[in-house]
Amino acid sequence: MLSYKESTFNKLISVAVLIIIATVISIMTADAGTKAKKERVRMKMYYSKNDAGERVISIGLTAGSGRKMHGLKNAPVLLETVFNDSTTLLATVETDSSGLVDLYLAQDYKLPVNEDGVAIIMAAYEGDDTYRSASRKLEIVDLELDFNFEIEDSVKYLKVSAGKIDGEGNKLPVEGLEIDIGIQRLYSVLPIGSVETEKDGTGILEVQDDLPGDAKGMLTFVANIEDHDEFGTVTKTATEKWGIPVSYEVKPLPRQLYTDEAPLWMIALVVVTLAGAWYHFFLSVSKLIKLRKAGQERL
Amino acid sequence: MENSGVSISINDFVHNLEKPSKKWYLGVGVLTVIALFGMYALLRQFMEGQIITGMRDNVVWGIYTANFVFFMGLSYAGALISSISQLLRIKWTKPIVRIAELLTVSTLIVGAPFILFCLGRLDRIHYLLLYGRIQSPITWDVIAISTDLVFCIAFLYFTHIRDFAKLRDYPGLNVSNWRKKMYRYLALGYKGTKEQKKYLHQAHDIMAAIIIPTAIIAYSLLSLLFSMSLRPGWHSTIFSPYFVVTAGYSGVALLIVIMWIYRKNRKLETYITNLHFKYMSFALIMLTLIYGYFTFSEYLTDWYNQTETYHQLLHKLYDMNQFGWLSLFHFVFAFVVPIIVIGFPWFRSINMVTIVSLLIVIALWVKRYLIVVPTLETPYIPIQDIRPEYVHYSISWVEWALSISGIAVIVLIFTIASKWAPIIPVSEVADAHNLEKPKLLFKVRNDSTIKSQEDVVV
Repeated sequence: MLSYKESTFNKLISVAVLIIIATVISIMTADAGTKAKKERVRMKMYYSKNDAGERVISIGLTAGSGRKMHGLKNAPVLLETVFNDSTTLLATVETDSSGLVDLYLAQDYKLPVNEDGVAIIMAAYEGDDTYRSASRKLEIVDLELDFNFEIEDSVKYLKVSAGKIDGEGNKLPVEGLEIDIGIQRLYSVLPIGSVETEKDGTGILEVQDDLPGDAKGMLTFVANIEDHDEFGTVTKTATEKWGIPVSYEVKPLPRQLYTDEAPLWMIALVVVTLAGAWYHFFLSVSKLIKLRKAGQERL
Repeated sequence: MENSGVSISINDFVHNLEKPSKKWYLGVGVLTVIALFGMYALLRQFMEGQIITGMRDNVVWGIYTANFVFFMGLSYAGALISSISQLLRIKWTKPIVRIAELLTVSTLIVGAPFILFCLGRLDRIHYLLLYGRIQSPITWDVIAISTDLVFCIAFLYFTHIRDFAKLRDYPGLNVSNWRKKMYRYLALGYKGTKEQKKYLHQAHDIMAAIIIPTAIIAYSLLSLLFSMSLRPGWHSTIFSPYFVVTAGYSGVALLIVIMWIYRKNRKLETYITNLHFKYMSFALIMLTLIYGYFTFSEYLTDWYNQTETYHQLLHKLYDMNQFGWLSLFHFVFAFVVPIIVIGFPWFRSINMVTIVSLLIVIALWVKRYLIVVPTLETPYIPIQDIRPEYVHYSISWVEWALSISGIAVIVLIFTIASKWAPIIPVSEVADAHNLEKPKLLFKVRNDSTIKSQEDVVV
């Protein structure tokens, strides 16, 4: 039979062993839990071509579940083009703090395309211990937009033509394409209508003749296709003297609290207050000068 | 009056002004190192930009602005006490006016630069003078604070002239020759003639009279930096008087603490008496009540008629996971504890009043922090960047370093200044019983000349 002390010792050893086992199990479970809670990653990919002909591939990575999605920052994304079952590396890019990254294609770089002019771009994120992998595929055809300004019977017609480039570089008219038309203003584009292209790839919009332009009457027209399944986002601009010349001379602003020059009453108030204060300061200093002189006279 | 019967002599203070002890040098050395560390932090901020502080796009002001408002407030209280004492010829305040004046100048010197540390481009500070708009409250503040600083330094010097003359004439003063020359130069040839006394009194009175409105204007303008904006918690019509009262409250509290330190450290019980603590305690309890009244009015109007943004702000202030603990700390130590300790005679003692005063000073610093940060974290236009550091402000080591070095500089100024001249204004205390009557702004007709009731009415 065990003595009291031995019994207590054995109990303590048993408890210690149980604690160690529980700790190991909890650590393992926690590790397993972490692995099981790998977050899902969503990838979005856009293609856009601006007025200067710059082509941009934009990637957005978000992670999380349900409504609690957040931008996946500093994530490496592999971008490749696919042509005839072979892939060519475009670039490896890294997302910013919001999970976004843009790849600007060089002006002289030609994406490999098939005979229909379709370029295939693949983006892939491999994932890591915390996040799952994600990938996206984009098929893009190069589209060119052109403007033509015509006046018939004093009516102004804006003709916009759309043509897609095939594998041999030929421009083929696109039918049934909806193009938004607007005028560039200081901060944004003012929409004035939209056109749908005909068989010859051209859409016509009648432009009203009372649109205010710059000092010379120039208007900058903007044609835009937004996130099209085949062409992505394409923008084209052109300038024409179709507006009413408006002189934007800035009139001098009055003296107010919100303008550069202060109201006169305020200047007067500040000057009088400061003059009063500093007058008394110098009056006080003059007394000290007299005090010093009085001391010198006494000597 | 308790002090009027006390004979005071420069002899009692000379030993403190002569050769400093090793302990003094050690203290100055430690304070200098802390101050230099603050300079290093400022240099890092200057070189690397405000990214190394906790300030970001939304919370563009933080602990620096809280310090600025806090130190300016302390300076205002010191200026008010010394100026009113001079103008009204109050005898009992004479032994503590120099401490009040030093408090004014040191906190002004340290506090004013703190607003500059908030500037993103400190190298363009001169643009404020070159292109500053007179309509901007910041321009008003720069003008008012710089004027106030010059006036307060001048006032501090005026109160030293007679003591400098005493030190100049003290036989066998064991200080370096350059210090003796400085005493001679700064005494302005004062010999105590009737004519010189008259000029000195006039200069003193004029400066005292002009410092009171200057300090009030400067601190009111400081409040306009906040209340001129439409932000919740700032846009208030009572902010100017509220700031002035808060300034007086914190200043009186700190003055009590400094009085206690000098009284213990320099054994000045003869000059800084129980009566001084008693009167200052009365001032403190009055200010507690006035401050409480203003705070109640401020929060009541915000709470009663709250919009969505005001609601968010008040929720932040009382949520224990956000600013609730700081709000509670402020409430307990700025209202409850002072009323209990000073209001009831059982707790009232010099040590207890000093401890409460120190807690009030800390609580009022917390209040300044609560004015600045929660409001900036609650803008009218929603914060679009969800990064936590853009939404919530946290104090960085650079800001702590500069704040602590600011306190070190104030202590350093006190340490050096009280080694240069007696911390008790010897000449003023000695003449306290000979004080002229305060000057009146209007003439009162002698009773003997009043012939009828009509004369009185007229």
